[in-house]
Amino acid sequence: MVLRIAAVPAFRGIGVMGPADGMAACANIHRCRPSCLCLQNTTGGTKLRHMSEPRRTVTIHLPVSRYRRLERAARAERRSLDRHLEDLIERELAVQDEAGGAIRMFVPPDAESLRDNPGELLPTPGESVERYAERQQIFTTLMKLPIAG
Amino acid sequence: MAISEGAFVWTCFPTSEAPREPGLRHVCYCVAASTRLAVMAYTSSQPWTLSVLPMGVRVFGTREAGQLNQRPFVLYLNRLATLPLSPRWFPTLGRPQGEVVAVASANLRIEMMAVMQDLLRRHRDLVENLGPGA
Repeated sequence: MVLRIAAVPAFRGIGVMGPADGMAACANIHRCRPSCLCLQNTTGGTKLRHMSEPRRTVTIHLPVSRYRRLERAARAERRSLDRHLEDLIERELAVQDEAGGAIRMFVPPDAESLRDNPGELLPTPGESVERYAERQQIFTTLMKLPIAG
Repeated sequence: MAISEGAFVWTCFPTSEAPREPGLRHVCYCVAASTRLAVMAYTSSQPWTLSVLPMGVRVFGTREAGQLNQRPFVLYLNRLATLPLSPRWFPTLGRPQGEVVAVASANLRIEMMAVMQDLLRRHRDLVENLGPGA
């Protein structure tokens, strides 16, 4: 048996829909079946940052065995199934972000202007001229990184 | 001892939630420092639990961390902050006990620099730009 997890643009909530509440809460034209999951998608990044963002709904289809497995895992973590799925998605996106090589550079207001004129890079004791030059390159690149946050 | 490359320093590293304000005090790794500012990398004592170790994330176990006068920690070279050299960001700056907790060995500094170069190469278009103007 394959589960249908419906995309519900009009439905702002998030939840696992059972036979009783599925069709009533879900405005989806597919009409949710008993084992239909409605969940809102999020994009990569930290969870807190996305909490205030507008949300969209996605549809996913799961074999019953996977559905049951997720249900068990959610129960073990004392999470609702939808929250558990959200966690899994967030975790995976975080891994993808980091594995992709993205750098987050925080620059507070009092440092912003300093980036244009950061002063002389301090040498490390005993450092060769070549290594210092390499580090200078890194430093220059770091000063040009877009600001995160 | 001055804040310079390889130093582990008490830092009020900003958080994702308040990126423009000093966060809680952390020991952070100095990637580079100039006469006016320092580029610091975030560390956390939360153990790394994921199966994948992304580029830029380095786990320091008990032995290695002990050599740096610290408990086991995770260093995130992909999470940086450019901070002015002031007590607002470096709370122990100018205090008698000094701001530097430990200094990385030459080998570790070389390793970290190579990772940083790789990260910057990979980074390019992947930067998450959520700057103040965004």
